[in-house]
Parts: sequence; structure tokens; C-alpha cells
Amino acid sequence: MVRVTAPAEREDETDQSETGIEETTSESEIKSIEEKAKIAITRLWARYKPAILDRLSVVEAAAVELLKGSIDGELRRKAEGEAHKLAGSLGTFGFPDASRDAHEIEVLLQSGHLDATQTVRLSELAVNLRTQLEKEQTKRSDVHTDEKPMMPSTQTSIPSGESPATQGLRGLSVDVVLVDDDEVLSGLLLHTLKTQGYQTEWIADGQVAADKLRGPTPTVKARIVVLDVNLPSLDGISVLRELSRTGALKETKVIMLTVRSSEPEVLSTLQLGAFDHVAKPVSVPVLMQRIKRALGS
Amino acid sequence: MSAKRILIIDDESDIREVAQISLETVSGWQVLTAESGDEGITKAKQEKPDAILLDAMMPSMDGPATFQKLQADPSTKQIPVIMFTAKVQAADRKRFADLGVKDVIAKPFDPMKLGSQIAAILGWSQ
Repeated sequence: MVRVTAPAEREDETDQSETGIEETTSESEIKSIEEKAKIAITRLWARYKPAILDRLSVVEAAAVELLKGSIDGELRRKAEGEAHKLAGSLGTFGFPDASRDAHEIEVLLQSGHLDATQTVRLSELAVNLRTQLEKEQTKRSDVHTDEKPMMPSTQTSIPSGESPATQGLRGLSVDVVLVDDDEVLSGLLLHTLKTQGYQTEWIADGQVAADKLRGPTPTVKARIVVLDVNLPSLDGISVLRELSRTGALKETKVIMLTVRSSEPEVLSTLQLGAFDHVAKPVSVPVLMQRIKRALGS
Repeated sequence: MSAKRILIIDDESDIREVAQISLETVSGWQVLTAESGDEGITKAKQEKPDAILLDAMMPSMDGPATFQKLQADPSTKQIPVIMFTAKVQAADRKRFADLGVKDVIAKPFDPMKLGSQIAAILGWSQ
């Protein structure tokens, strides 16, 4: 939330030689004024959050293009400008960590050619930013506001290109199929997997995943399926149930990406035959380690 | 300190509104706003604010260009201007100082301190 200047840092118009009672009242008034400002800014944040997430979407689109290997100059400049604005706005609204991430993105985009490490770093920062912004509502519980909580965005915008649902699924055996509709996170994970030599496929729709992965001889045979819970068309638990019912899990290990990692949710996925689970927000190194472990076991 | 009248010129509406809330609520000042250099110059001429908080990076007419126009007009020349910018490298600071702005306030800013920062720069007692 908004950083609050200690009352002592702001001199008051009240004569400091006045009585202790009056000084206490003055401090109380200052706190009241600051609280009023905090509430007003919190309400303002609720109003501007969608626009700020739109700015982030431009940065995410740039991250996706960079992960694909190239980005046009206009998108890069636009993303740099949006990152610049994000850094200023987020810091002012009381998110210093997010502001620093946005500034780092701006600096990365200002540099010339981004190497693979810098590209991954930029993508990680974009993922971190969205995670921070979507989690922020719970951090603001100390300030009362009658504004309704903002619904987190679950779909990032991406530049035109091959859509996940229509991406060529060629009936090949692959090491890892990633089933997740978060384009930036997926781009980051796929990029990381590919750079480590794994064959990958990406499916962003639950029903498509169930259709392609089900049965003992599936259209797409995967050694590992990394499966998000929240998916369009069909949720991840239902996809897992379908894979289990049709015998697909005899040849394929499923790592679930769970949002809350609540005990019932984790237990239900393990009971359905999931090999492992990783909590969102995903730590890429942790997930990579879990994938390696699953592939090696 | 008597209530001051501040003109905020910034194309980013969220920043403009947070600064307005800050200066009105925390500092008790009157705030005028403009979302472009052109609008800001017009309001400066009409309203004669006590100070101007001027965004450095704006489309069309940026902060330095706006400042130079304000300086060129006898009716606004005396209004102190503080540059409001994310760019606070030493070179930028020197460039703004050479232009004649009073000082620079960095973005992001702390809404609880903005008024006291302005007052300190301009020597206003609080």
C-alpha cells in the first residue's frame, strides 16, 4: 500500500509549544488525513488497474516475440514506453518491487540485441509483474475500501501468430507437453525446455489437451505433461481424470500446476494419478528440476 | 503556510490524479491539472499558479519544450517549475538545471511526501 510518511517527518502548522493534548490531536489529524489519502489512492488504483494491466500486456507481447526469436521495432519501442510508465505508476501506487521489475524491463528493452539469458530474464520479470499485480488485492486488506475487488486477468494478449489451439500437433512423441493458457509463462517454460534440448508441444485449451493426450495411443505421446488447473474449455482436473480413465497415465507422467496448492486439491490430483504438483506462481528453476526428476525416474 | 495553487502538467492520468489527491488531501493545496504542454501553458497563463509540476516525457510537446515556452512568455516566466520525471540521471538533472527549472522530483514518488518535497525545493515553510 501507499507508503506513509511518519507524522514526525511532516511539520504541522500547530505551534509545537502547545500542550501535549493538542499535539496528540494534531498527530491524530495528520494520521486521519494520510488515511484519507491512502483510501483515495487505493480507490484510484482499483480504477486504473485494468489500464495498467493493459500496459503490462504490451510488455508481455514483447516478451513472447523475443522468446520466439525476433521482435519488430515498433512493438519493442511501445513495450519500452509502457514499461517506463509501469515503473512510474506502480511505484507511485505503492508497489516498489513491481516498479523495479518494470524498470529493469525498460532497461533491457533499451539495450541493443538481447541474448538468450536477457530474454529469459525479461520474460521472468513480465511473469513476476503479473503475479504481483494479481496477488496485490490481498495485500491491501489493511485499507478499507468499498470498491469491489478486481478480477485477475487470466488471459494475456499476444501478437498474431500460431494460436495454441491450432498449433500443429503432429502426432510425434515429445518429451514435454505443456498445457497452459498463460502465453508468457508458457513461452518462458517452452523456451527454457528447448534450450535444454527437450522436445516440446504446447496446448492452451483443456478440451484440446484431453483430445490429443487421451488413450493408450494418443495423438500426442508425451513423457511428461505439465498441466495447469485453470484452462479454457475443460479444467485441468477434468483433463487429468480423462487421461487416467483412458489409460494414458501408464506411459505419461503428469505434473499439475496448482494455484493454491490446497491439500484437498493436491490430494485429488495425486489420487487421480498425477505424478507431482508445483504451486503457482511457478518458479521456473523448481519446475525444471521437477521435470528432470520425472523424466529420470 | 497559506494554501498554494499548483499546476500539474502530465500526460499520464493516473500519475496526475495521485499527485492531485496527494497535494489536495495531504498538503491542503489547490491543484490544477493539464494533460499536455499546450493545455498546461494555457492554464498557466490564465490561472497564474504558485508553481508548476511538469512531466518531462510527454508526447507532442515534452517537458523541456513546454518549459521553454513558459519562460518565453512574460506572464508565466516567473512561475517556478519543477520537473517531474523518471529520468533522474546526473546528465538529465544537469540538463534540466541548465534550462532553469528549480529542481527535479523523481517518479515514482511518495504521495505522502510530494507536497513537502515541493515546499522544500521552493523554500515554502510548512
